[in-house]
Amino acid sequence: MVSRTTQYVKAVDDVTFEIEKGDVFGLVGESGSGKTTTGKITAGLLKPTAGHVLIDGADIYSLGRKKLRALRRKFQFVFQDPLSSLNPKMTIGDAIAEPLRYLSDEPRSKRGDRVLDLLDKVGLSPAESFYSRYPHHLSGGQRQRVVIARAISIGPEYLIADEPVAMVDVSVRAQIMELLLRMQKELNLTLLLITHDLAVAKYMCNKIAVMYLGKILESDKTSDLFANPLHPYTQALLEAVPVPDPREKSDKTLPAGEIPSPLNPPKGCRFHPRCPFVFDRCSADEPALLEHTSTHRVACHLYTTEGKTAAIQYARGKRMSNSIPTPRLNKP
Amino acid sequence: MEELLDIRSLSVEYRTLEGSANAVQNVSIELRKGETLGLVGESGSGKSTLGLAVMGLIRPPGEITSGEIFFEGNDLRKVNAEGLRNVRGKKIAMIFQDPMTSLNPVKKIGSHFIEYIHAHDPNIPKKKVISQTRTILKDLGISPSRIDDYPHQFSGGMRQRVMIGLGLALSPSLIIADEPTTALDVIVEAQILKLLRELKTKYSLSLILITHNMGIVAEMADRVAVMYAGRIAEVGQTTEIFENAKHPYTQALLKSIPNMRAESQVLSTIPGSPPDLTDLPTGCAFNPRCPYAFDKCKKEIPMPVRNGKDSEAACFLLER
Repeated sequence: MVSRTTQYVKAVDDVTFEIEKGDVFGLVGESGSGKTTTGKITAGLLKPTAGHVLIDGADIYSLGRKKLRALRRKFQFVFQDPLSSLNPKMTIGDAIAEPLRYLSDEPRSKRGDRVLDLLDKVGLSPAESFYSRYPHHLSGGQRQRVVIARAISIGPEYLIADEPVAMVDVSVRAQIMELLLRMQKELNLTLLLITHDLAVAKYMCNKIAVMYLGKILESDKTSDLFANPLHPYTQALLEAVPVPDPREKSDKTLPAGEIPSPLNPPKGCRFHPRCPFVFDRCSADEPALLEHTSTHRVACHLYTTEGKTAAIQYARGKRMSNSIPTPRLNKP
Repeated sequence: MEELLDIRSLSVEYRTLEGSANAVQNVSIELRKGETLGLVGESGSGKSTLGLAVMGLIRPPGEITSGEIFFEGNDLRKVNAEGLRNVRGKKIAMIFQDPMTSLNPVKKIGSHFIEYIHAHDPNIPKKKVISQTRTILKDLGISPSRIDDYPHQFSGGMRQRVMIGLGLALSPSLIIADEPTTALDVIVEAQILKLLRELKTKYSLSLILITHNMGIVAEMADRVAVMYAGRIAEVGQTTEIFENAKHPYTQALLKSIPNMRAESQVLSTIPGSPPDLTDLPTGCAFNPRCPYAFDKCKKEIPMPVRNGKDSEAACFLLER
């Protein structure tokens, strides 16, 4: 007899954040962080097991089918792989017109012009020549522009871009990033950018949330996050990224090990087995995401009073008493 | 002799149904002993093909159509199959991007090493091979007890460490690493790069690092060769390339990459995209995208011009 135990993965666990209209909000994390799943949940594509997504105050998963459908028209997605996002049997013109056919009240006669307009808007000129081509005729960057044109065709308010430049050639990435930012400004979009690339997040986003194994560990305004990263994981990420500047060569202190399996995340703080500043409380209690300042939140015991005391004691090389936690160094 | 590897006028062609793709065209580059050469380029640049050509791994429909590959003074193109087998692994080893497809899922990690070492030297006693393997695993930061584990029991980063270990198993003097960290997470990538640096010093290796990531090149390379559409655009010391690039492609590329450490950046975009290798523009392959292109650029192909001991750039602007 063969039996099977079902294991659960908490892809996204107790995640709270707010996006304001007009934000370019970055969800940054490595694999298994839950950033893509979170993005899908906020767009109404994936019902959460618990919790709420409020858009303009309305709880989107409590809305009736009709209202949810109407709301979904306001969201559009741009995915990582422009080739698999486009139907190879549809012309570029038809691909961009598709949402207009099903989701807009635009009269059929006007559709063609609208598509040409969109092609121009995303920089695919001359528009007429792109209209009747197929995806395989286009380069990766051009395909991604088509995907963006299709996404903005029905005038969404909220655009979720999941690794929009990861599969685009390096020399073309800046074009696509600039296009997204231009569209965001011109169309007054709110943009959720999901990426593992901190440099891209820094360039494009005004706010960033750093995720790890389903949790938000830190969130802040972009400039402040890079100037003043609080969470040891954020600090590690910033240290790890190879920077295109040879003068920046440094001997890096990196956390040991790799991201554990989401099937069996560490108890307490999920990052604790790899954290250089770990102390006793970290393996016992999961730290809550708390406000450090009104715009900067961090989920780390180091920033509680107890944590600060422990950190100071560690720095002084002594302990006050057995009841105060002792930090120990995780060997890298 | 200072040059470990001396590639001269190498060309590699792939014959496809859509036409001939000139993957590598007339490339000349040297690697000095103990050096890390960063080979940078985007898709279609020819960087991976160049690496495969050095290893003698170009297979039909690909073919080396001209040039020489001097390794330790011998032209590898003139060496027979038996001779190449002695070079591959023992003198030059290659590490690829995706460790999962390079490792046999039904073989233990230990078996990978034992088979590999025995294939090149069947006379080494198994006990010695196992003890050698344990030492390598320790160098890689993997517990030697994991010698009996299977690939699926290792994480992505660990598997890549195993691949590096296999690369080093026969004590080569040159490692060619083709996008070794592209499939890895940020922190693991940094760990692997650190490991490569440490092993390079420990085993006195020379390294060709093939990548599209300018950050990795800045961190790891002593010299950088920039390739575009199958040709060398520019070569130079790393600091020279980043601070004083001569080729418009290199300059444009550097200005278009977001740098996290920069206070505020305005990225400049490069119009167009890398060309289709079966349908290259006439003249300089970069000319349709180049802000400085003039008449000659559209008609003739620029040859690399030396400027300084270590630098060269293939651009007609330098002739003016």
